[in-house]
Amino acid sequence: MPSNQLAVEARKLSKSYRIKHKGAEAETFWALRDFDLELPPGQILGIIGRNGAGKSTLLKILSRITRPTSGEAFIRGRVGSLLEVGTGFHEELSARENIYLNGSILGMRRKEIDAHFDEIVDFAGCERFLDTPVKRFSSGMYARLAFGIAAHLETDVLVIDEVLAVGDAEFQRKCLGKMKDASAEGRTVLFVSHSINLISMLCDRCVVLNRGQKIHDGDVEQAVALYYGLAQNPDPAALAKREGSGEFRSIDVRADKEIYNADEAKTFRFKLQQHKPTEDKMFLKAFIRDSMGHIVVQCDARLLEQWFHPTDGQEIEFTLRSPWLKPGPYSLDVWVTKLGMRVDVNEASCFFTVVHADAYPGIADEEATDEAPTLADFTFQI
Amino acid sequence: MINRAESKLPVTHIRARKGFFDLGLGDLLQYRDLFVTFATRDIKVRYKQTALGVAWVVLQPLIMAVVQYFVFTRIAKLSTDGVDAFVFSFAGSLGFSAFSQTLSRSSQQFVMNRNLVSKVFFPRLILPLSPVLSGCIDFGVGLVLLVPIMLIKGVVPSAMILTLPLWFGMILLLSIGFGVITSSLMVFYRDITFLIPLLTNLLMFVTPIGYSLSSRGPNEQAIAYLNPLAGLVEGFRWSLLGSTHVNWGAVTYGLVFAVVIFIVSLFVFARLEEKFADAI
Repeated sequence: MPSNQLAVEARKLSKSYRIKHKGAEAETFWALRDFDLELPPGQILGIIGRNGAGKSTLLKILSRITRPTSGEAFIRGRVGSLLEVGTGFHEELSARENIYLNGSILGMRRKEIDAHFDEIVDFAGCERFLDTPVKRFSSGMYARLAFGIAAHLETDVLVIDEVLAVGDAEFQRKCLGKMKDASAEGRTVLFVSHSINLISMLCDRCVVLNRGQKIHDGDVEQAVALYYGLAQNPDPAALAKREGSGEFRSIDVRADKEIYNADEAKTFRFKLQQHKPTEDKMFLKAFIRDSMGHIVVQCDARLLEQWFHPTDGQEIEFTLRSPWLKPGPYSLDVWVTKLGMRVDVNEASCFFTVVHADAYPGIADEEATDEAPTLADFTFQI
Repeated sequence: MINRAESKLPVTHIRARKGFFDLGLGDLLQYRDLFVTFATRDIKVRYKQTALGVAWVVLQPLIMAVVQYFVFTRIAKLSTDGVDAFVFSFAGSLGFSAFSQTLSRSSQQFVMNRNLVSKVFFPRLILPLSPVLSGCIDFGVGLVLLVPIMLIKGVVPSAMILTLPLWFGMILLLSIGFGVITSSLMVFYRDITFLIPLLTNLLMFVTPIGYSLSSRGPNEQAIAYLNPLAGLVEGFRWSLLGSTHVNWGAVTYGLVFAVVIFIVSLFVFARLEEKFADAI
């Protein structure tokens, strides 16, 4: 492909920050290092990576919010970026005023906004609330309005950070549709998400970032496998960078089975590795997230009065019996906590899939289960 | 590399450093509607949840004029060049408020909009420049109030009133120059937040708003005219009232000062802007 056909081209983009430690010399931290990219128009590029991998830094550089420390990039055409829902909204102003405010912050001329006003209102579904201050909007409508403005902008390159996680399923469906339309019109989309499901549904191509460096660029399935691999075998440096004070770190988190039936008990095993001396008692937490990143189950060992002492055995088994999970992909976050302090936060430590497999004897359409985030074990006495 | 010649679409080149004096004027042009949008947003929001609402636009210079009148004419018994003292104070207050209000709004722009600065791209210079518009509106309202008061007090505006936009413009330029510098510095040093009200308060006393410098001794005048606003406020008032004292040397100094500080402010901004998103 002739290179003058590229929508985005990056050459050795790097960004470093100086981190000052008390009493020690300043250290250089590379948030992004030697990032190369050649992206033709109309492609949807997914970008995945653990927290701190450099995804947001990359998007900030490409949307010209911050400058790279070295390297360069070329972007052909106008860039529209949505790095956070509702940036530039003013709470006191009405939806109508905010559409104009936000549109012009994103670089639209007034007559462009006029031309797309109805589409945006339609997308957000807020025609009855046009003159209501947005501070009274539900978070869903707020998110739809924000995404609607960014997506309807006449841009050639659309840069979207993890913003879809705030909305409901309907919102996500609409956004996905909008991004696919954009791509079909020849617009280029760069899309960061923790939701592997969204990435696989939407993207033609996927980049995996790890500690500031690109470790994969291409096939989406391979990218996802690599990302899961990173989650299971963190290297020591990544372990030390994980959030928390770090006396103990959870490693080697595994689900007993890759695929669970909705109604069966789900067991996970992991090890706790001691990295620093401590005598404090700790407790464990587990969160289960659905494919959109929403927490559907929270399990806190304090509720069971189960404390973990540094001298205890370091093999842990965690079992979830209820609620039943809906069919779909899930991830597990494992936390180690002391009172008032996080010791270790292991996000997306392992992944598993739930299938329906006759959890209920009867059959009904989706409407029978679509309102709640989980299924339940229930009876009616008639 | 993307070939600029072969495509209609504009190509953005992202690199580590921009040119020494690259203000991104092309971007400013593209985003010109944003200037008006920011200004109208600030005006709309400013009087939300206030009991008196837009009346504050009128009350601010009026109250200031009253205070100046009492302090300098009634208590200190300083000269107002034979012009009605209240009209004299009010005219001076209008000029000074244009400076102080615009500076105080402009200086806070980056810090107040820090979520925008760290999450969206747009030409940052628009932020400290946008208070110019609300400054113009406040001034217009003040003028509508001043002219009837002048007529009631029997002060007839002179033909020099035609030069008023020039004086007002230079006062705004001085103010916006300081605004761009202080707003850029405030990203790194929040100390500026505390300094600005202190300095404007000090300036309010040393600028001849409610009194004329004509009756002061030459040494005192020399010191007072070091303040670039002194000459500009005198010229501003002279264009309204015609017969008041003007030191043309001080006026020239004020005009040059305003232009120089504005140019300097653009350099300061261009140097500091690169680090805004990381530092704010």
